[in-house]
Amino acid sequence: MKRSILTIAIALIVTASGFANDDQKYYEIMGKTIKEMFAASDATGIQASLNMFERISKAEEDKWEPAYYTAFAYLRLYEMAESVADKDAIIDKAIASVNKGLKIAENEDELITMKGYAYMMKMILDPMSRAPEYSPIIIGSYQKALAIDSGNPRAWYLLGQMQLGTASFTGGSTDQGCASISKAVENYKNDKSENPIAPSWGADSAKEAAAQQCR
Amino acid sequence: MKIILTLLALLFSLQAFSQKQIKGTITDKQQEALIGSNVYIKGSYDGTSSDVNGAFSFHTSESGVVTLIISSLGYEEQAIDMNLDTLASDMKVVMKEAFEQLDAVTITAGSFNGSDESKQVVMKPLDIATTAGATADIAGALNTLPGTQKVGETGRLFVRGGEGRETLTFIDGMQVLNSYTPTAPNTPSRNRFSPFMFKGTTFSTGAYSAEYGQALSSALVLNSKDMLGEDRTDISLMTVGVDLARTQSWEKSSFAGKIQYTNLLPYFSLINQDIEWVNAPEAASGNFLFRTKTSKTGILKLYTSLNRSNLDLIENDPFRPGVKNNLGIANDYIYVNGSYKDILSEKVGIQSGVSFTSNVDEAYRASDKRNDHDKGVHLKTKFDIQLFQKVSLNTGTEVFARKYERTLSNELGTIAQKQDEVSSVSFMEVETYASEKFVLRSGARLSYNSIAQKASLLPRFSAAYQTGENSQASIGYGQFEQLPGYDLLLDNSNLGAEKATHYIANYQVTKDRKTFRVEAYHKEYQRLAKLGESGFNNSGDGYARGIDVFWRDNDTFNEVDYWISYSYLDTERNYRDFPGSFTPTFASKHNFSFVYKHFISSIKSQIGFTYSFASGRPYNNPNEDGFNQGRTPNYQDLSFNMAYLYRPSIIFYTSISNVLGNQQVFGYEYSNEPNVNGIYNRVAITPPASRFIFLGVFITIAKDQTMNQLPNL
Repeated sequence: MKRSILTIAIALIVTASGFANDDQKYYEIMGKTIKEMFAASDATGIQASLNMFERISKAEEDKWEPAYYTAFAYLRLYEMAESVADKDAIIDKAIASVNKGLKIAENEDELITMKGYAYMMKMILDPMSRAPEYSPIIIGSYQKALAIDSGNPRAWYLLGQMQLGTASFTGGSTDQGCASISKAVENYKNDKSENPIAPSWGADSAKEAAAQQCR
Repeated sequence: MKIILTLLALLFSLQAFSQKQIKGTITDKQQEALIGSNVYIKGSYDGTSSDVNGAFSFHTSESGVVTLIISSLGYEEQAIDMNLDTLASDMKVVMKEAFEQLDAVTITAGSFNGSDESKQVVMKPLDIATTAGATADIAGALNTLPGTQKVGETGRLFVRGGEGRETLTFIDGMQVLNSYTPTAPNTPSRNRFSPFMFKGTTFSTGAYSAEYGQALSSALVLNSKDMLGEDRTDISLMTVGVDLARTQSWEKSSFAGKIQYTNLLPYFSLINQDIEWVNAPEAASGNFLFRTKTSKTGILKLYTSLNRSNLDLIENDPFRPGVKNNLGIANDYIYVNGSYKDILSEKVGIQSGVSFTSNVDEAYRASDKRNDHDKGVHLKTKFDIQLFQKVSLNTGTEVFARKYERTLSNELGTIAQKQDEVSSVSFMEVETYASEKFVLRSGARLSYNSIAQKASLLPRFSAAYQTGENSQASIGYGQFEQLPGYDLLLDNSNLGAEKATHYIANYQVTKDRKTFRVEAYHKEYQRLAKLGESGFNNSGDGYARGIDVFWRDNDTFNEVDYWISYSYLDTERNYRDFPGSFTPTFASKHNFSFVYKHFISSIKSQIGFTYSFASGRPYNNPNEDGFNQGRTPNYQDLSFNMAYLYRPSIIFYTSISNVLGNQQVFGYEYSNEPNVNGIYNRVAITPPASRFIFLGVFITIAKDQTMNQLPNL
């Protein structure tokens, strides 16, 4: 009897630690790092998260999320950077990371959306000369993401931002952009995460955009 | 049960016991701490980032032999194998700086690079297209850069004391012949190629790469677009004509085409011209670019340009009132360029291409007729080989074949002339990075030309050194050869190639979106074609030297981009029919340009100004002693342009040259015979109208309604 309990106990421990080494540990550490990355208030903090994402990506070569959040971390660094040259160098790293992720999961709509986002941030550094080349990539990415999941609220939100941005630059109508933003707001209501670390950001920004840019 | 609990506790504590600590510091070679480096055990999550002192410390539950990875931005990644069971004291990791070619210094001597992706961006394709006074003409925009001379009556690029023909154009590495449209005498011609087909421009004002040749002064290298963008149709209605463009993309291929019809008759009938036109210039042209991916890495491009134009006018003899001549020219032009680019292996890239040019001019003046047919073929294959991490080789071989036929006829008879030419060339160039801060490029061009019947070896050398975070110094040297023009070759088949040797020193500072550069050069001309007692020979020579200064600021003022160019030129030549060493008529000592562009969001408009100044040019005054001793008045021009976004897809555009109406004199024409007082009469060579006004509406039809032609204007 004692022997069998012991066997069960050991088996339990082994399985538990086995689980811990598997997806659960991945989600746990990813979740923690993502929180840290969003909470970080300076470049050093973000760099620490970037390092963690890099470590995870090296250990979990078939997961796309580390590449996705690496790109997101670079977008945060981009916001903090001051000179255009620095922003340009940072955004190139975000793009490289997205491309790395797309090699793992080429049809992941969140990643494709992130690609559009990163290119959009690169374009606005010099819209006059970059728009002709980058607009098709940006719009194409959001459209491709929406073709895969027509309810992806982030793809709708970013597409709307792109359309509103172009409209304000060229003085065109905001109808198209506002339609996309309202699609985003609607879809954020049903934005259920597939797993604890699936992208879930943007709902508030979409509401704010709807309220401020599309009254 | 107790036993089990004890056992469980023991198991957990064992796990805790097995945690090992790894710690140490990370520095660079100068013992400076590296902050934020990533340190971790390969294949696990265990790791950390180094702190402000470069120190790191973390625990791991791994055991045995593991690989510790240390990575830090800008440094080479290190992998250290270590046994955790016999872990000793603190680690000291010294990181080696990584070599990043993209961040490394690039050679800028003699070169203006205009591609968007280039680090040393000085001019982008869009800048070319939006420069006031250039009316979207490539040469017109490049004429606002230092090193060029304003030679208003030709519209061509005259670089650093060189003639217009000393600049050669290349598209995707392939030679282009006759890249300017024919025009009436003393009216500016335009480059045939529209800037919007190209993603980047490299304009070399000297000491250019061994990959290019056959041009004494300058190479203009245009690279066609790799990505053509979204499906769209563009319609342009202009005071000078109409054009229609279409861009379409499929999965692996894309196409961009533009057909254009221009006729200056309506414009000339409205704005009085100094020329009596019979048929105002009329032209039909088509430009087509097709591109397809042949594999994951291979790209095949086909570029075609077709052009047909004609003009007829009545020329009034300025010295014999009432004497008129009919004068005209018709031109047929075909340019086809096919190129293929692929990556053979990680370290070897190949580029291969063929280009064909055919240019037919049929010109007449009174009863004299001239028919010229110029045909050229260029074949080229080159390889880019990464020999080592810091050494790359660019090598290739090419053949130029050219046939020139001329028929001259009048009531006295007909003369047919012909000249064939074949050049075989091999070139090789090695680029070596001593460090990220220091690069050397040396190479040579070995060529054999069938007319000169001589092989020549032309060395090229350049180097750049990064002197500070934002500044660098470059030097360039090169020898260049070019045959004299066909005007001379047809009658003097004994003539060999003319030669130029360039020496250039350049200093450049680039910070944010501001660029300052200054460049000094010396150019030695040898073996220029010179008229001797028994016809032309290669005994001429000359020199050109000067200083070019450039300042561009795209940063200080919001939505404003401006640049200032100044060139000082000192040049003399003893060539052609010159009686000695004199400054040629196309060379002005001082050239200055100020280009200003401002996007004003509140009125949805972009406005631009270009001010150009050139000091007086020499002209030969037969009424005085000496040669080329006269100087024309200084040249000044203020041009304006404005693009107004009426709707996102509709743009109104206007440009006006010489807004202030300054009198522009390019030179003087003297009568062949002195008048009764023994004086040679003269007339000034001036533009046919003091201003040129251009109006246009540009409409874009695309699924995405926000697309427009602004980037193309």
